[in-house]
Amino acid sequence: MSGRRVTRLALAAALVVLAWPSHAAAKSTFVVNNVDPAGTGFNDPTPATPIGGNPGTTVGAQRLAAFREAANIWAAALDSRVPIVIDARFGPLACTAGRIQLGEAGATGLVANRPGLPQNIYIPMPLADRLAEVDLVPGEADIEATFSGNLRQCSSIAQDWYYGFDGKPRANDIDLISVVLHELGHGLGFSSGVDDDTGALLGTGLIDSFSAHIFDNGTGKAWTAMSNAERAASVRNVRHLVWNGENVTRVAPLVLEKGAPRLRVTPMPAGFRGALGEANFGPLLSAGAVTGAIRLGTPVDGCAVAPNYNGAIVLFQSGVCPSAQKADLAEAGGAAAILITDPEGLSPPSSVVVPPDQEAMFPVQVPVLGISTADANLLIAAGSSASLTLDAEAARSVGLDEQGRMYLYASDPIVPGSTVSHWDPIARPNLMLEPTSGYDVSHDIRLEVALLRDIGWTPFCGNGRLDPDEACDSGANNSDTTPGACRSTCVAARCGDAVMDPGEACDNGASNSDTMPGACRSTCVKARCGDGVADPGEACDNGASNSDTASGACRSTCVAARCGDQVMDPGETCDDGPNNSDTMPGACRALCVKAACGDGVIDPGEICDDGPQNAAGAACTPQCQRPAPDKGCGCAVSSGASDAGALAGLLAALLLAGVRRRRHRAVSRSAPQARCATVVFSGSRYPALRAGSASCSTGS
Amino acid sequence: MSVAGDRRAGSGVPVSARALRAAGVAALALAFGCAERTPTVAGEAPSAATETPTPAAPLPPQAPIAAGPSLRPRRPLPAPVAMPGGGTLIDLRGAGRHVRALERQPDGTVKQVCVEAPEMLAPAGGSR
Repeated sequence: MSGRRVTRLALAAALVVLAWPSHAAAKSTFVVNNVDPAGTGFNDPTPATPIGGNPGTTVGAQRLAAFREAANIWAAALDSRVPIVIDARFGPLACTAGRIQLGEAGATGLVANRPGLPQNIYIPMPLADRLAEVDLVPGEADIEATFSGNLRQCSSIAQDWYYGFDGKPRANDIDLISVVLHELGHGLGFSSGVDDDTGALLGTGLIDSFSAHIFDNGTGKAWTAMSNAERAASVRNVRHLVWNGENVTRVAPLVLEKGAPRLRVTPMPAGFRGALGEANFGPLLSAGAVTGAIRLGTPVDGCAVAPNYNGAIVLFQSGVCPSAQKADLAEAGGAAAILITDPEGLSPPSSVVVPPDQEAMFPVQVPVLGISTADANLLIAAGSSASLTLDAEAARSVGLDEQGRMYLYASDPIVPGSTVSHWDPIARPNLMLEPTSGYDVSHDIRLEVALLRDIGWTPFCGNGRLDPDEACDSGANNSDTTPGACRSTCVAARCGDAVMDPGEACDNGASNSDTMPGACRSTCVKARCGDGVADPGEACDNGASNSDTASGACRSTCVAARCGDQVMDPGETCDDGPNNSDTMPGACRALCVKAACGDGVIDPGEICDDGPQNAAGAACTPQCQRPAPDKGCGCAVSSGASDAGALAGLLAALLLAGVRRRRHRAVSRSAPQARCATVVFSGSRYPALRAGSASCSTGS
Repeated sequence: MSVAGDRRAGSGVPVSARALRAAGVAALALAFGCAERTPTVAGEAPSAATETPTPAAPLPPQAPIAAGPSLRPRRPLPAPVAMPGGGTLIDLRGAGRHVRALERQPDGTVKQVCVEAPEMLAPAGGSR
């Protein structure tokens, strides 16, 4: 499968999903009248298994559900206060060996010169009702539609309808919703009333609401300004018929892909149109220009092993074998690109389409394009003297003219039922209202809705009048960017619309979040401490649980609980905040542990504290006490002396103790009797001496 | 610039494999009832692999599988009638419809086409 095919299928799948939401708030009501007799069509009781989102359990129920699904897709996109009534049936339709009629639909009438409506123009019945805001022909349907109830019996390859909502029909089956969408589009107004052959207008010579927007960029004339003869010629003015409507011109670049194919011939043969059709396989021309001479295929149908084409652009007749096979064989023979004539001799040529299995079987790597038989013959006549260049206009959307207007289907010869009332089939991706379709499925009606709005299906929102279901409508002042303005959907400015309206600190639309750090919140306030999200610069944020008193809590300033915050958190034995001290006796320490022996500070109850030097046998014991008096002389200190007196007393005691100790050492060997003298200090300024006394053993 | 040579070199599919695939497609077409062929042009040699091309030969006309375009007379629309309350109405009930059909192509593929075929509005066959 080529990358192009993958892209197309992916796009089609995406469009199925992204198309007008069928269950969005409906802008209008489409009433589907089941007019089938009992037991047939929509009332077929044959059991069926729900498929693709269609919940019906009989064939009839699935048909009706699929039809209503299609109607709902239109209803969600078009505004009308008057219900649009469709008489629908699943009747027997004609089929021959080569053609099976799938369905047909149309407006039940055209209205002109109705008081209150635009004058001198024919308007299809559903649109006339919508503009008049009243049912102009009560009791009658606005659209009639019939779809084939005998498709399976007609098909030689057992094709049947696919009733699923998901746009994924089984191989060979036909997606009913796509066909209903297409046909209802015609009934809603995507249809010209001008006679293709004569250019004549309707009735007494009035143009219709569709044809009033047609412009011929070859002659520079609108159809409204043409004579019948000029219109009849314009119908055949291939790739010159364009839609003149601002909604389509605005929406088209959003829908269409860029890279319009182009064929240039030097010298240009007289009468050469150069209109191409793209293939649904092989590479697109945007990959680069292909230049070469023209060569007629050998054989001309291209269905046999090819000779050496030596880089020529090779021309084949359509038919006999699959187009992908022709291209594959020609590529093997050295073709640089392949042109295949339209099977019906049409200009512009139809798209060159193969089913997915053939595309997979022939992985063509050279560009393949369709060409009209007339242009092909001109190229053959030019022979080797002509130089061909195939390339793409990178900036141009495929389906638009140089001024950005959508091509309508002008064809030569006329194809009754197709010409004018469809887009030109060159559009990429394929559109709902193209005259033909191949194997891809889409429910995308964006461009068709734009066209219908151009002819009068304008949304109520934007008319400056407060209609039902609108919160506001400021007409041209509706804006999706102005703070506080009524929005283009006629809803009031609100938090979440991506515009910072009055009273909002921020608004990032869908990016507003109550869980993303730093995001604008869903209430359009900025991220802040206390909103429960740890934003940049915040260590924590537990919202209402933030606390400056709860143990271990995130603090009100969105910093984590920590030693020094005056709250005893888990792992802490104390926390006096700024009073924590590593020098104050008895104070909570800087690491939020309680004062203790060994911390180097003599706390209450300690006699000494030398920190890590505390040790048995050291000056201060591990219990922060002086070592117990030994057999010699030791000192104990008690309070009660003044500093000077205490110091003097202590020195005296120490001296005395030293003298006596020396004496004692001599004496103790024989008389180990010891006595202590006691010196009492009070009011000492030496902490070690304060509130205590020194007692020294005297040894006697 | 010509890119064909490079891309062909990249494809690397031998002619014999292509012939086999062609045979496969022919069988597939028959199996799906697509054996109809547009008539080959008189004097054409369909499988001459080494045939010298004839650039000046015009392409033969092709017979469309559907009825020729613009050959049917367009069915005239009903005349406008006055509406109660003003204005005129062209009553299109039972007329003026767009028809979507499934059409088999000469190469065996099928496509949906829009046609104007009043004669096809006549019922044919049963319906369920």
